Amino acid sequence: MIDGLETELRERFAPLADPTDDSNWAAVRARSSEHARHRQRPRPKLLLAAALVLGVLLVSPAVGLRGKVVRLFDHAPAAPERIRKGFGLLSGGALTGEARKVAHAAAGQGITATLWLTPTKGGGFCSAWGLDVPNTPPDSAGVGCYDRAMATTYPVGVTTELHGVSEDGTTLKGPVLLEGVVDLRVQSLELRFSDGDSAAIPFVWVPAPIATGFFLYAVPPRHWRKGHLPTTLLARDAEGHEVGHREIRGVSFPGS
Amino acid sequence: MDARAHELEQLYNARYVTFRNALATVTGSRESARDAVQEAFARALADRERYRDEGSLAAWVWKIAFRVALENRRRPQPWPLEENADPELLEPERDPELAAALRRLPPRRRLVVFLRYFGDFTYAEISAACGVSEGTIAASLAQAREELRAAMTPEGAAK
Repeated sequence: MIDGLETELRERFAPLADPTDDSNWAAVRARSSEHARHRQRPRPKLLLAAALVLGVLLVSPAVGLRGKVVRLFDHAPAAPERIRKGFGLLSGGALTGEARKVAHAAAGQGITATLWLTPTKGGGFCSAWGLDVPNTPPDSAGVGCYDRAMATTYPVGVTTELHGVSEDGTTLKGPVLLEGVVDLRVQSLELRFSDGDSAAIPFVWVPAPIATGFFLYAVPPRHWRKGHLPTTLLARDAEGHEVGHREIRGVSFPGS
Repeated sequence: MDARAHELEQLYNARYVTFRNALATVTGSRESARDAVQEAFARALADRERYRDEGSLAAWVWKIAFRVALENRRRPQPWPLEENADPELLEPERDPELAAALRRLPPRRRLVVFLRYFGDFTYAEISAACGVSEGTIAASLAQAREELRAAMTPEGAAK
């Protein structure tokens, strides 16, 4: 019966698929070369040492509010050419001339993470977290463009960046990074782990034209093991009421 | 060219059209899907040393493509990106019955269906792309087939 259904569905879908082959591998390679120039990754061994709790440090005038730090976009230093070019490669309508360095975080071992932002023509923004490792080319990771609707419809969003699992299958390879965004309602963030631990996650709020908060957190090595992984990120308002939470997906082991 | 780059080129040549067609259900247009696939393979090529044979290469590239597609999607969606795809047939008027039946499926199940029938993904590839077990994918597809069949019968369509 399943075979019959499978065949029937394949026959229904087939005429709806566009058979046009407009592929262009040469164009992919050219685009890839541009990315490689802007996004070369730091060496894993150095990044292992970088997996420390990151504290957001501001690069110019700011106001601190618990875990939330306000950063004025217009007062931030302009982004260098390589970052502006990187934003220009995205298709989000980035106003590359307005790109600015908004915050940086010390990660130990001389490694720093820097947040770059620029508004887009449509009222959204493009962001890039750059990891700078001594003696390696500058890196821009976590680049993306977001429209205005995204910044106002959900209080907190989080993505994860993993680097595989160890050979014995019980420990994640570092670094384990969580990066994400929060909206205006959020005043503090708490990350909970499966062993009962929790950690306050600092974030930087960037007012208009960005109007979004950003965080980058390097999960400590003691939480790379089964039974100790991050599980939930809680967002609270000024009164301490929960306004949103995200399950930490992606920080897991195959089959778990 | 190194072996991984060669592998990516082979994957691109073999799967470009199906990736684009599957992704178009997420982006809402073939043009944006094409751009997303191009961007995804470019990123994969630039970052190929990060791929460590965890799951299939096709699934790894698909995940990049999916993320690119949602970053550049036509329809605004909230975070988190992975949970808010709402894929649709590009030209529902070409098969209104199937389009209506698909709309009745939950978005995630609809995506699995599109990966299977537009993207030609194997169960293992869908499993790796979606981060769930093959058994779950098999069950999800079986359920989707039954729901589609039920919805496309006269009785089911009338409900």
